[in-house]
Amino acid sequence: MKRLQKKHPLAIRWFHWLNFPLLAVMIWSGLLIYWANPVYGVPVPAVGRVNLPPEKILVDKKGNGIDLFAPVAPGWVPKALITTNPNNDKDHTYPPVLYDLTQRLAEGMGWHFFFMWFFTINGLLYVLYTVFSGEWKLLLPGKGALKNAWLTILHDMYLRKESPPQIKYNGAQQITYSLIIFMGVGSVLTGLAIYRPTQAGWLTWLFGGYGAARFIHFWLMMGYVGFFTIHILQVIKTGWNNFRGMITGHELVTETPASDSGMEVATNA
Amino acid sequence: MPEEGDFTKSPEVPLVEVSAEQRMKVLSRRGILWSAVSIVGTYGFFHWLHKQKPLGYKTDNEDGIDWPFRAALVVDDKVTSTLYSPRWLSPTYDDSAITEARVNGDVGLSDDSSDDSADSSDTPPPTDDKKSKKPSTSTIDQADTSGASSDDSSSSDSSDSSDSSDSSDSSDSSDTAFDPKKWSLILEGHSNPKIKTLKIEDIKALPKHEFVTEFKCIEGWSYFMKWAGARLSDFMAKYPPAMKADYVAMETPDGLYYVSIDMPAAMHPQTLLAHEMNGKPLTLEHGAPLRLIIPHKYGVKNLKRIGKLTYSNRPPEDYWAEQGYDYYAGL
Repeated sequence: MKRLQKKHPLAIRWFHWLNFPLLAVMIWSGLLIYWANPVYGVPVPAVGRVNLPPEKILVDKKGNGIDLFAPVAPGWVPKALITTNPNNDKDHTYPPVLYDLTQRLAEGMGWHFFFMWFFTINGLLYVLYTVFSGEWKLLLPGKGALKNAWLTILHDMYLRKESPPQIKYNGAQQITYSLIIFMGVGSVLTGLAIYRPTQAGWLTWLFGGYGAARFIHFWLMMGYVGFFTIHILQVIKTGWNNFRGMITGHELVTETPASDSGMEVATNA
Repeated sequence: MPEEGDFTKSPEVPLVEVSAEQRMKVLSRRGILWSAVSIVGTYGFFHWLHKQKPLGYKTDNEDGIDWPFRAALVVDDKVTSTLYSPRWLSPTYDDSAITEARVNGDVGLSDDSSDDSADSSDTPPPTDDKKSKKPSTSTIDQADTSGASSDDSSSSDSSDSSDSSDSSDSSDSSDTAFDPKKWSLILEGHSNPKIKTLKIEDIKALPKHEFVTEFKCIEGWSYFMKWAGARLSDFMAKYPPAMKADYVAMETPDGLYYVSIDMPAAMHPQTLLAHEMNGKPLTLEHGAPLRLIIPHKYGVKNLKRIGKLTYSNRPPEDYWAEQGYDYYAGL
Protein backbone atom coordinates (compact mmCIF):
# COMPACT_ATOMS: atom_id res chain seq x y z
CA MET A 1 0.00 0.00 0.00
CA LYS A 2 1.44 3.33 -1.02
CA ARG A 3 0.59 6.71 0.34
CA LEU A 4 1.32 10.32 -0.52
CA GLN A 5 3.75 12.10 1.69
CA LYS A 6 4.34 15.84 1.77
CA LYS A 7 7.94 16.67 1.13
CA HIS A 8 8.78 20.18 -0.10
CA PRO A 9 6.60 23.16 0.81
CA LEU A 10 5.38 25.26 -2.09
CA ALA A 11 7.58 28.22 -1.11
CA ILE A 12 10.75 26.13 -1.17
CA ARG A 13 9.86 24.74 -4.59
CA TRP A 14 9.37 28.27 -5.93
CA PHE A 15 12.66 29.50 -4.48
CA HIS A 16 14.44 26.45 -5.85
CA TRP A 17 13.12 26.70 -9.37
CA LEU A 18 13.45 30.47 -9.57
CA ASN A 19 17.02 30.17 -8.45
CA PHE A 20 17.86 27.88 -11.33
CA PRO A 21 17.50 30.42 -14.19
CA LEU A 22 18.67 33.25 -11.95
CA LEU A 23 21.92 31.52 -11.06
CA ALA A 24 22.37 30.44 -14.66
CA VAL A 25 22.04 34.03 -15.87
CA MET A 26 24.36 35.29 -13.14
CA ILE A 27 27.01 32.73 -14.11
CA TRP A 28 26.65 33.41 -17.82
CA SER A 29 26.76 37.20 -17.49
CA GLY A 30 29.57 36.86 -14.95
CA LEU A 31 31.58 34.96 -17.55
CA LEU A 32 31.01 37.77 -20.06
CA ILE A 33 32.56 40.09 -17.47
CA TYR A 34 35.31 37.65 -16.55
CA TRP A 35 36.31 37.28 -20.16
CA ALA A 36 37.31 40.95 -20.38
CA ASN A 37 40.22 40.10 -18.13
CA PRO A 38 40.39 36.32 -17.77
CA VAL A 39 43.28 36.10 -15.37
CA TYR A 40 42.61 32.89 -13.51
CA GLY A 41 43.68 30.61 -16.30
CA VAL A 42 40.44 28.66 -16.27
CA PRO A 43 39.41 27.36 -19.66
CA VAL A 44 35.99 28.65 -20.53
CA PRO A 45 34.40 27.63 -23.80
CA ALA A 46 34.39 30.46 -26.28
CA VAL A 47 33.71 30.98 -29.91
CA GLY A 48 35.54 33.51 -31.94
CA ARG A 49 38.78 35.31 -31.68
CA VAL A 50 40.97 34.52 -28.76
CA ASN A 51 42.90 37.39 -27.36
CA LEU A 52 44.92 35.53 -24.81
CA PRO A 53 48.28 33.87 -24.70
CA PRO A 54 47.74 30.20 -25.56
CA GLU A 55 48.83 28.95 -22.18
CA LYS A 56 45.88 30.69 -20.59
CA ILE A 57 43.12 28.82 -22.31
CA LEU A 58 42.29 25.74 -24.30
CA VAL A 59 42.95 26.40 -27.94
CA ASP A 60 42.94 24.30 -31.02
CA LYS A 61 45.75 24.16 -33.58
CA LYS A 62 44.59 27.30 -35.33
CA GLY A 63 44.63 29.20 -32.09
CA ASN A 64 40.88 29.35 -31.73
CA GLY A 65 39.21 28.73 -28.43
CA ILE A 66 37.81 25.25 -28.14
CA ASP A 67 34.07 25.48 -28.10
CA LEU A 68 32.57 22.80 -25.92
CA PHE A 69 29.16 23.45 -27.39
CA ALA A 70 30.30 23.16 -30.99
CA PRO A 71 28.61 19.79 -31.67
CA VAL A 72 25.18 21.23 -30.91
CA ALA A 73 25.71 24.70 -32.29
CA PRO A 74 24.73 24.29 -35.96
CA GLY A 75 21.31 22.86 -35.22
CA TRP A 76 20.71 24.91 -32.17
CA VAL A 77 21.36 28.30 -33.65
CA PRO A 78 19.58 28.97 -36.92
CA LYS A 79 22.11 29.67 -39.66
CA ALA A 80 20.26 32.83 -40.62
CA LEU A 81 21.10 34.34 -37.25
CA ILE A 82 24.80 33.89 -37.72
CA THR A 83 26.21 36.62 -39.86
CA THR A 84 29.38 38.54 -39.71
CA ASN A 85 29.15 41.67 -37.69
CA PRO A 86 29.39 44.43 -40.31
CA ASN A 87 30.93 46.83 -37.82
CA ASN A 88 33.38 44.43 -36.39
CA ASP A 89 35.89 41.77 -37.19
CA LYS A 90 35.05 38.72 -39.24
CA ASP A 91 35.58 36.22 -36.44
CA HIS A 92 32.44 37.11 -34.61
CA THR A 93 28.85 36.20 -35.07
CA TYR A 94 26.37 39.00 -35.05
CA PRO A 95 24.24 39.24 -33.09
CA PRO A 96 26.37 37.34 -30.65
CA VAL A 97 25.16 33.91 -29.67
CA LEU A 98 24.68 32.69 -26.15
CA TYR A 99 27.93 30.82 -25.86
CA ASP A 100 30.16 33.46 -27.44
CA LEU A 101 31.68 34.95 -24.34
CA THR A 102 34.27 37.30 -25.80
CA GLN A 103 34.04 41.06 -26.14
CA ARG A 104 30.70 41.43 -24.42
CA LEU A 105 31.67 43.23 -21.24
CA ALA A 106 28.99 45.94 -21.38
CA GLU A 107 26.29 43.38 -22.06
CA GLY A 108 27.55 41.16 -19.26
CA MET A 109 27.51 44.02 -16.79
CA GLY A 110 24.02 44.98 -17.92
CA TRP A 111 22.62 41.50 -17.25
CA HIS A 112 24.66 40.95 -14.10
CA PHE A 113 23.60 44.20 -12.44
CA PHE A 114 19.99 43.65 -13.51
CA PHE A 115 19.58 40.13 -12.24
CA MET A 116 21.69 40.58 -9.12
CA TRP A 117 18.62 42.05 -7.44
CA PHE A 118 16.41 39.07 -8.19
CA PHE A 119 19.12 36.57 -7.31
CA THR A 120 19.72 38.29 -3.97
CA ILE A 121 16.05 38.79 -3.13
CA ASN A 122 15.17 35.20 -3.99
CA GLY A 123 18.04 33.93 -1.84
CA LEU A 124 17.10 36.21 1.01
CA LEU A 125 13.46 35.11 0.93
CA TYR A 126 14.56 31.48 0.90
CA VAL A 127 16.71 31.97 4.00
CA LEU A 128 13.94 33.89 5.79
CA TYR A 129 11.39 31.22 4.93
CA THR A 130 13.69 28.48 6.10
CA VAL A 131 14.24 30.25 9.40
CA PHE A 132 10.62 31.12 10.14
CA SER A 133 8.99 27.93 8.89
CA GLY A 134 11.27 25.74 10.96
CA GLU A 135 12.64 24.04 7.83
CA TRP A 136 16.09 24.95 9.09
CA LYS A 137 15.83 22.12 11.61
CA LEU A 138 15.75 19.62 8.78
CA LEU A 139 18.42 21.47 6.85
CA LEU A 140 21.12 22.39 9.33
CA PRO A 141 23.58 19.57 9.97
CA GLY A 142 23.22 18.34 13.52
CA LYS A 143 25.16 15.87 15.55
CA GLY A 144 26.29 12.90 13.53
CA ALA A 145 25.74 14.69 10.22
CA LEU A 146 29.35 14.22 9.25
CA LYS A 147 29.24 10.48 9.92
CA ASN A 148 25.90 10.23 8.17
CA ALA A 149 27.35 12.14 5.20
CA TRP A 150 30.32 9.79 5.01
CA LEU A 151 28.08 6.72 5.09
CA THR A 152 25.90 8.31 2.42
CA ILE A 153 28.89 8.88 0.20
CA LEU A 154 30.01 5.26 0.70
CA HIS A 155 26.51 4.13 -0.20
CA ASP A 156 26.36 6.38 -3.26
CA MET A 157 29.70 5.06 -4.46
CA TYR A 158 28.33 1.53 -4.15
CA LEU A 159 30.78 0.74 -1.37
CA ARG A 160 28.09 0.19 1.25
CA LYS A 161 24.80 -1.57 0.85
CA GLU A 162 22.48 0.20 3.26
CA SER A 163 21.89 3.89 3.09
CA PRO A 164 22.10 5.56 6.50
CA PRO A 165 18.85 6.63 8.16
CA GLN A 166 17.58 10.09 7.44
CA ILE A 167 14.53 12.26 7.98
CA LYS A 168 14.20 14.71 5.07
CA TYR A 169 17.83 15.12 4.12
CA ASN A 170 20.81 12.90 4.70
CA GLY A 171 23.99 14.25 6.26
CA ALA A 172 25.67 14.93 2.93
CA GLN A 173 22.67 16.92 1.79
CA GLN A 174 22.46 18.85 5.04
CA ILE A 175 26.09 19.86 4.76
CA THR A 176 26.04 20.83 1.08
CA TYR A 177 22.63 22.54 1.15
CA SER A 178 23.71 24.58 4.17
CA LEU A 179 27.07 25.33 2.63
CA ILE A 180 25.45 26.55 -0.56
CA ILE A 181 23.53 29.16 1.45
CA PHE A 182 26.76 30.50 2.88
CA MET A 183 28.29 30.44 -0.61
CA GLY A 184 25.34 32.51 -1.80
CA VAL A 185 25.89 35.00 1.00
CA GLY A 186 29.57 35.02 0.07
CA SER A 187 28.77 35.70 -3.58
CA VAL A 188 26.52 38.62 -2.73
CA LEU A 189 29.06 40.12 -0.31
CA THR A 190 32.13 39.65 -2.51
CA GLY A 191 30.06 40.96 -5.39
CA LEU A 192 29.25 44.08 -3.41
CA ALA A 193 32.89 44.39 -2.40
CA ILE A 194 34.01 44.56 -6.02
CA TYR A 195 30.96 46.49 -7.23
CA ARG A 196 31.40 49.40 -4.82
CA PRO A 197 34.83 49.12 -3.21
CA THR A 198 34.68 52.73 -2.01
CA GLN A 199 31.26 52.72 -0.35
CA ALA A 200 31.67 49.13 0.76
CA GLY A 201 35.38 49.58 1.39
CA TRP A 202 35.31 47.82 4.76
CA LEU A 203 33.84 44.77 3.04
CA THR A 204 36.54 44.84 0.38
CA TRP A 205 39.13 45.09 3.13
CA LEU A 206 37.49 42.17 4.94
CA PHE A 207 37.91 39.94 1.89
CA GLY A 208 41.56 40.88 1.57
CA GLY A 209 41.30 43.62 -1.03
CA TYR A 210 39.78 44.23 -4.42
CA GLY A 211 41.73 41.56 -6.27
CA ALA A 212 41.12 38.95 -3.57
CA ALA A 213 37.40 39.67 -3.47
CA ARG A 214 37.20 39.23 -7.24
CA PHE A 215 39.12 35.98 -6.93
CA ILE A 216 36.75 34.64 -4.26
CA HIS A 217 33.74 35.80 -6.26
CA PHE A 218 34.99 33.83 -9.25
CA TRP A 219 35.76 30.63 -7.36
CA LEU A 220 32.41 30.66 -5.59
CA MET A 221 30.91 30.58 -9.06
CA MET A 222 33.09 27.59 -9.90
CA GLY A 223 31.77 26.06 -6.69
CA TYR A 224 28.19 26.40 -7.96
CA VAL A 225 29.14 24.69 -11.18
CA GLY A 226 30.60 21.82 -9.15
CA PHE A 227 27.55 21.67 -6.90
CA PHE A 228 25.24 21.73 -9.90
CA THR A 229 27.07 18.85 -11.58
CA ILE A 230 26.92 16.59 -8.53
CA HIS A 231 23.36 17.68 -7.76
CA ILE A 232 22.16 16.69 -11.22
CA LEU A 233 23.93 13.34 -11.05
CA GLN A 234 22.39 12.62 -7.65
CA VAL A 235 18.92 13.59 -8.83
CA ILE A 236 19.23 11.27 -11.81
CA LYS A 237 20.51 8.48 -9.59
CA THR A 238 17.77 8.91 -6.99
CA GLY A 239 15.06 8.76 -9.57
CA TRP A 240 11.75 10.05 -10.71
CA ASN A 241 9.82 9.90 -7.42
CA ASN A 242 12.31 12.20 -5.77
CA PHE A 243 12.49 14.59 -8.72
CA ARG A 244 8.71 14.71 -8.89
CA GLY A 245 8.76 15.67 -5.23
CA MET A 246 10.50 18.92 -6.09
CA ILE A 247 7.74 19.76 -8.57
CA THR A 248 4.58 18.45 -6.91
CA GLY A 249 5.77 18.70 -3.34
CA HIS A 250 4.74 15.11 -2.66
CA GLU A 251 6.35 11.74 -2.80
CA LEU A 252 4.87 8.29 -3.05
CA VAL A 253 6.07 6.21 -0.15
CA THR A 254 5.42 2.58 0.63
CA GLU A 255 3.44 2.20 3.78
CA THR A 256 5.43 0.28 6.34
CA PRO A 257 5.05 0.00 10.07
CA ALA A 258 8.36 1.80 10.45
CA SER A 259 7.11 4.89 8.69
CA ASP A 260 4.36 5.31 11.23
CA SER A 261 6.82 5.56 14.06
CA GLY A 262 8.04 8.92 12.82
CA MET A 263 11.32 7.71 11.38
CA GLU A 264 10.54 8.00 7.74
CA VAL A 265 12.98 6.46 5.40
CA ALA A 266 13.16 8.16 2.08
CA THR A 267 15.80 8.62 -0.50
CA ASN A 268 16.62 12.09 -1.55
CA ALA A 269 18.72 14.25 -3.71
CA MET B 1 -14.56 6.36 -10.28
CA PRO B 2 -15.14 10.06 -9.65
CA GLU B 3 -14.38 12.81 -12.09
CA GLU B 4 -10.89 14.23 -11.87
CA GLY B 5 -12.26 17.64 -10.97
CA ASP B 6 -13.55 16.21 -7.74
CA PHE B 7 -10.17 15.83 -6.18
CA THR B 8 -7.82 18.14 -8.03
CA LYS B 9 -8.80 20.93 -5.72
CA SER B 10 -7.87 19.16 -2.53
CA PRO B 11 -5.64 16.21 -3.14
CA GLU B 12 -4.96 15.95 0.56
CA VAL B 13 -8.51 14.88 1.36
CA PRO B 14 -8.58 11.15 0.86
CA LEU B 15 -11.58 10.08 -1.10
CA VAL B 16 -12.85 6.62 -1.07
CA GLU B 17 -11.51 4.43 -3.83
CA VAL B 18 -8.85 6.96 -4.83
CA SER B 19 -5.42 5.47 -4.44
CA ALA B 20 -2.28 7.41 -3.69
CA GLU B 21 -1.03 6.60 -7.16
CA GLN B 22 -4.05 8.20 -8.74
CA ARG B 23 -3.71 11.31 -6.66
CA MET B 24 -0.04 11.48 -7.52
CA LYS B 25 -0.99 11.31 -11.16
CA VAL B 26 -3.13 14.39 -10.81
CA LEU B 27 -0.44 16.21 -8.88
CA SER B 28 2.10 15.29 -11.53
CA ARG B 29 -0.13 16.44 -14.33
CA ARG B 30 -0.59 19.73 -12.57
CA GLY B 31 3.15 19.94 -11.93
CA ILE B 32 4.04 19.27 -15.53
CA LEU B 33 1.59 21.94 -16.65
CA TRP B 34 3.09 24.44 -14.27
CA SER B 35 6.58 23.45 -15.41
CA ALA B 36 5.64 23.98 -19.02
CA VAL B 37 4.14 27.39 -18.27
CA SER B 38 7.23 28.34 -16.23
CA ILE B 39 9.68 27.22 -18.90
CA VAL B 40 7.81 29.04 -21.65
CA GLY B 41 7.45 32.09 -19.42
CA THR B 42 11.12 32.14 -18.51
CA TYR B 43 12.18 31.68 -22.09
CA GLY B 44 9.74 34.37 -23.19
CA PHE B 45 11.02 36.80 -20.59
CA PHE B 46 14.66 36.28 -21.54
CA HIS B 47 13.80 36.45 -25.20
CA TRP B 48 11.88 39.68 -24.64
CA LEU B 49 14.80 41.15 -22.67
CA HIS B 50 17.21 40.16 -25.38
CA LYS B 51 15.14 41.72 -28.14
CA GLN B 52 14.62 45.13 -26.59
CA LYS B 53 15.78 48.27 -28.28
CA PRO B 54 19.43 48.99 -27.61
CA LEU B 55 19.86 52.19 -25.73
CA GLY B 56 23.05 54.12 -25.46
CA TYR B 57 23.46 56.55 -22.68
CA LYS B 58 20.88 59.08 -23.76
CA THR B 59 19.86 58.01 -27.22
CA ASP B 60 19.23 54.94 -29.30
CA ASN B 61 22.51 53.42 -30.20
CA GLU B 62 23.19 50.06 -31.76
CA ASP B 63 26.25 49.86 -29.54
CA GLY B 64 24.15 50.40 -26.44
CA ILE B 65 22.45 47.85 -24.24
CA ASP B 66 18.78 46.93 -24.16
CA TRP B 67 16.73 49.55 -22.37
CA PRO B 68 15.69 47.36 -19.41
CA PHE B 69 19.36 46.96 -18.54
CA ARG B 70 19.97 50.68 -18.95
CA ALA B 71 17.03 51.31 -16.64
CA ALA B 72 18.46 48.84 -14.13
CA LEU B 73 21.86 50.55 -14.24
CA VAL B 74 20.15 53.85 -13.48
CA VAL B 75 18.34 52.27 -10.53
CA ASP B 76 21.57 50.66 -9.32
CA ASP B 77 23.30 54.00 -9.48
CA LYS B 78 20.49 55.75 -7.64
CA VAL B 79 20.64 53.18 -4.86
CA THR B 80 24.39 53.32 -4.52
CA SER B 81 24.47 57.11 -4.93
CA THR B 82 22.30 57.49 -1.86
CA LEU B 83 25.11 55.78 0.00
CA TYR B 84 27.66 58.02 -1.65
CA SER B 85 29.44 60.48 0.55
CA PRO B 86 32.42 62.65 -0.33
CA ARG B 87 33.75 61.75 3.08
CA TRP B 88 34.28 58.22 1.86
CA LEU B 89 37.68 58.01 0.32
CA SER B 90 39.15 55.33 -1.84
CA PRO B 91 41.78 53.60 0.27
CA THR B 92 45.25 55.08 -0.08
CA TYR B 93 48.49 53.20 0.35
CA ASP B 94 52.20 53.56 0.99
CA ASP B 95 54.61 54.06 -1.85
CA SER B 96 55.65 50.44 -1.40
CA ALA B 97 52.29 49.33 -2.79
CA ILE B 98 52.97 50.85 -6.23
CA THR B 99 52.87 48.30 -9.02
CA GLU B 100 53.94 48.61 -12.61
CA ALA B 101 51.55 50.63 -14.70
CA ARG B 102 49.65 49.25 -17.62
CA VAL B 103 48.88 51.22 -20.74
CA ASN B 104 45.43 50.37 -21.92
CA GLY B 105 43.32 52.67 -24.06
CA ASP B 106 44.66 55.02 -26.72
CA VAL B 107 41.46 56.53 -28.04
CA GLY B 108 42.00 60.23 -28.53
CA LEU B 109 45.74 59.81 -28.17
CA SER B 110 46.24 58.43 -31.64
CA ASP B 111 48.62 61.00 -33.08
CA ASP B 112 51.55 60.30 -30.83
CA SER B 113 51.50 56.53 -30.88
CA SER B 114 53.89 55.85 -33.73
CA ASP B 115 52.69 52.34 -34.46
CA ASP B 116 49.17 51.32 -33.68
CA SER B 117 49.81 47.63 -33.92
CA ALA B 118 52.13 47.58 -30.96
CA ASP B 119 49.52 49.36 -28.97
CA SER B 120 46.61 47.17 -29.87
CA SER B 121 48.40 44.03 -28.80
CA ASP B 122 48.41 45.61 -25.39
CA THR B 123 44.79 46.54 -25.59
CA PRO B 124 42.32 43.95 -24.35
CA PRO B 125 39.41 42.90 -26.52
CA PRO B 126 36.60 45.20 -25.43
CA THR B 127 38.56 48.40 -25.89
CA ASP B 128 39.93 47.23 -29.16
CA ASP B 129 36.53 46.19 -30.34
CA LYS B 130 34.81 49.41 -29.42
CA LYS B 131 37.57 51.53 -30.77
CA SER B 132 37.37 50.01 -34.21
CA LYS B 133 33.62 50.45 -34.22
CA LYS B 134 33.76 53.94 -32.91
CA PRO B 135 34.42 56.35 -35.77
CA SER B 136 31.00 56.06 -37.39
CA THR B 137 29.19 57.07 -34.24
CA SER B 138 31.74 59.50 -32.90
CA THR B 139 31.45 61.64 -35.99
CA ILE B 140 27.82 62.27 -35.25
CA ASP B 141 28.36 62.84 -31.59
CA GLN B 142 31.24 65.16 -32.08
CA ALA B 143 29.36 67.18 -34.65
CA ASP B 144 26.66 67.63 -32.09
CA THR B 145 28.78 68.67 -29.20
CA SER B 146 31.53 70.66 -30.83
CA GLY B 147 29.51 72.31 -33.56
CA ALA B 148 29.32 75.58 -31.70
CA SER B 149 32.74 75.45 -30.15
CA SER B 150 35.47 77.82 -31.14
CA ASP B 151 38.18 75.39 -32.01
CA ASP B 152 38.37 71.69 -32.34
CA SER B 153 38.28 68.85 -34.59
CA SER B 154 34.83 68.51 -36.05
CA SER B 155 36.49 68.00 -39.39
CA SER B 156 39.15 65.58 -38.26
CA ASP B 157 37.27 63.22 -36.04
CA SER B 158 36.12 61.08 -38.90
CA SER B 159 39.64 59.76 -39.07
CA ASP B 160 40.25 56.40 -37.54
CA SER B 161 43.04 56.27 -35.04
CA SER B 162 45.15 54.33 -37.49
CA ASP B 163 44.29 56.42 -40.51
CA SER B 164 46.89 59.06 -41.18
CA SER B 165 45.63 60.34 -44.52
CA ASP B 166 42.55 61.80 -42.93
CA SER B 167 44.40 63.64 -40.27
CA SER B 168 46.56 65.39 -42.85
CA ASP B 169 43.38 66.93 -44.25
CA SER B 170 42.78 68.52 -40.93
CA SER B 171 43.67 72.14 -40.51
CA ASP B 172 44.62 71.52 -36.92
CA SER B 173 48.36 70.95 -36.83
CA SER B 174 48.30 69.40 -33.38
CA ASP B 175 46.54 66.43 -34.89
CA THR B 176 49.55 65.11 -36.72
CA ALA B 177 51.92 65.35 -33.79
CA PHE B 178 50.74 66.21 -30.37
CA ASP B 179 53.13 68.55 -28.62
CA PRO B 180 52.50 68.83 -24.89
CA LYS B 181 54.48 72.05 -24.80
CA LYS B 182 51.97 73.75 -27.08
CA TRP B 183 49.06 72.29 -25.14
CA SER B 184 46.52 74.46 -23.47
CA LEU B 185 43.30 73.63 -21.69
CA ILE B 186 40.16 75.09 -23.22
CA LEU B 187 37.56 76.16 -20.69
CA GLU B 188 33.86 76.35 -21.46
CA GLY B 189 30.92 77.44 -19.34
CA HIS B 190 33.30 79.32 -17.18
CA SER B 191 32.33 82.51 -15.27
CA ASN B 192 35.13 84.71 -16.52
CA PRO B 193 34.81 85.04 -20.29
CA LYS B 194 38.25 86.59 -20.51
CA ILE B 195 39.91 83.34 -19.60
CA LYS B 196 39.43 80.97 -22.51
CA THR B 197 42.43 78.72 -22.10
CA LEU B 198 44.79 77.73 -19.33
CA LYS B 199 48.39 76.63 -19.31
CA ILE B 200 49.85 73.78 -17.35
CA GLU B 201 51.45 76.33 -15.03
CA ASP B 202 47.99 77.53 -14.05
CA ILE B 203 47.14 74.01 -12.92
CA LYS B 204 50.46 73.55 -11.15
CA ALA B 205 49.88 76.81 -9.30
CA LEU B 206 47.00 75.17 -7.45
CA PRO B 207 47.76 73.23 -4.25
CA LYS B 208 49.33 69.89 -5.12
CA HIS B 209 47.91 66.71 -3.70
CA GLU B 210 49.49 63.30 -3.92
CA PHE B 211 48.33 59.80 -3.04
CA VAL B 212 48.65 56.16 -3.99
CA THR B 213 45.41 54.43 -4.95
CA GLU B 214 44.34 51.29 -6.65
CA PHE B 215 43.50 52.21 -10.22
CA LYS B 216 40.69 49.91 -11.31
CA CYS B 217 39.76 49.09 -14.86
CA ILE B 218 36.21 48.17 -15.80
CA GLU B 219 37.69 45.06 -17.40
CA GLY B 220 38.65 43.77 -13.99
CA TRP B 221 42.35 44.44 -13.55
CA SER B 222 43.80 46.94 -11.14
CA TYR B 223 47.16 48.52 -10.34
CA PHE B 224 48.46 50.60 -7.49
CA MET B 225 49.71 53.96 -8.70
CA LYS B 226 50.74 57.25 -7.24
CA TRP B 227 49.14 60.37 -8.63
CA ALA B 228 49.84 64.03 -8.05
CA GLY B 229 47.96 67.09 -9.22
CA ALA B 230 45.42 69.70 -8.35
CA ARG B 231 42.08 68.89 -6.87
CA LEU B 232 39.29 69.51 -9.34
CA SER B 233 37.38 71.15 -6.48
CA ASP B 234 40.25 73.66 -6.01
CA PHE B 235 40.30 74.22 -9.74
CA MET B 236 36.58 74.90 -9.76
CA ALA B 237 36.89 77.29 -6.83
CA LYS B 238 39.43 79.29 -8.78
CA TYR B 239 37.69 78.99 -12.14
CA PRO B 240 34.01 78.67 -11.19
CA PRO B 241 31.21 77.84 -13.62
CA ALA B 242 29.21 80.72 -15.10
CA MET B 243 25.99 79.28 -13.71
CA LYS B 244 24.99 76.42 -11.52
CA ALA B 245 26.52 73.39 -13.17
CA ASP B 246 25.64 69.77 -12.46
CA TYR B 247 28.26 68.15 -14.62
CA VAL B 248 31.85 68.53 -15.66
CA ALA B 249 32.68 67.26 -19.13
CA MET B 250 36.16 66.66 -20.49
CA GLU B 251 37.50 65.57 -23.82
CA THR B 252 40.78 64.92 -25.55
CA PRO B 253 42.15 67.68 -27.82
CA ASP B 254 40.98 65.78 -30.90
CA GLY B 255 37.53 65.25 -29.36
CA LEU B 256 37.63 61.50 -29.97
CA TYR B 257 37.39 60.53 -26.32
CA TYR B 258 35.11 62.31 -23.92
CA VAL B 259 33.72 61.69 -20.49
CA SER B 260 31.63 63.53 -17.99
CA ILE B 261 31.11 63.27 -14.28
CA ASP B 262 28.44 64.66 -12.02
CA MET B 263 29.13 67.43 -9.54
CA PRO B 264 29.44 65.32 -6.37
CA ALA B 265 32.07 63.21 -8.12
CA ALA B 266 33.85 66.32 -9.39
CA MET B 267 33.94 67.85 -5.91
CA HIS B 268 35.32 64.71 -4.30
CA PRO B 269 38.64 65.46 -2.57
CA GLN B 270 40.37 62.63 -4.43
CA THR B 271 39.33 63.86 -7.85
CA LEU B 272 42.51 65.26 -9.36
CA LEU B 273 43.68 67.04 -12.45
CA ALA B 274 46.85 65.00 -12.38
CA HIS B 275 50.17 65.88 -13.99
CA GLU B 276 52.41 63.38 -12.24
CA MET B 277 52.40 59.62 -12.02
CA ASN B 278 54.60 57.65 -9.63
CA GLY B 279 56.57 60.79 -8.79
CA LYS B 280 57.39 61.69 -12.39
CA PRO B 281 55.71 63.92 -14.93
CA LEU B 282 53.05 62.07 -16.89
CA THR B 283 54.21 60.35 -20.04
CA LEU B 284 52.27 60.81 -23.26
CA GLU B 285 50.84 57.29 -23.16
CA HIS B 286 49.54 57.91 -19.65
CA GLY B 287 47.89 61.16 -20.62
CA ALA B 288 50.44 63.98 -20.53
CA PRO B 289 50.28 66.80 -19.86
CA LEU B 290 47.10 66.66 -17.81
CA ARG B 291 44.66 63.88 -17.06
CA LEU B 292 41.71 63.23 -14.84
CA ILE B 293 42.20 60.93 -11.86
CA ILE B 294 39.07 59.89 -10.08
CA PRO B 295 39.74 56.80 -7.97
CA HIS B 296 36.13 56.07 -7.11
CA LYS B 297 35.29 55.63 -10.78
CA TYR B 298 36.49 53.02 -13.24
CA GLY B 299 39.51 53.82 -15.39
CA VAL B 300 37.30 54.60 -18.37
CA LYS B 301 36.31 57.85 -16.63
CA ASN B 302 39.94 58.80 -15.93
CA LEU B 303 40.38 60.69 -19.19
CA LYS B 304 43.92 61.09 -20.49
CA ARG B 305 45.17 64.29 -22.09
CA ILE B 306 42.37 66.70 -21.25
CA GLY B 307 41.96 69.18 -24.08
CA LYS B 308 38.73 70.83 -23.08
CA LEU B 309 36.87 71.16 -19.83
CA THR B 310 33.22 72.17 -19.88
CA TYR B 311 30.80 73.00 -17.10
CA SER B 312 27.31 71.94 -17.97
CA ASN B 313 23.91 71.71 -16.37
CA ARG B 314 22.72 69.03 -18.75
CA PRO B 315 24.18 65.52 -18.85
CA PRO B 316 26.98 65.75 -21.42
CA GLU B 317 28.08 63.02 -23.80
CA ASP B 318 30.06 60.14 -22.44
CA TYR B 319 32.11 57.86 -24.68
CA TRP B 320 31.57 54.51 -22.98
CA ALA B 321 28.11 55.18 -21.62
CA GLU B 322 26.97 55.57 -25.22
CA GLN B 323 28.26 52.10 -25.91
CA GLY B 324 26.24 50.39 -23.26
CA TYR B 325 28.36 50.93 -20.20
CA ASP B 326 27.21 52.40 -16.94
CA TYR B 327 27.33 56.21 -16.93
CA TYR B 328 28.02 56.43 -13.21
CA ALA B 329 30.81 53.82 -13.42
CA GLY B 330 31.31 54.28 -9.71
CA LEU B 331 33.36 52.16 -7.40
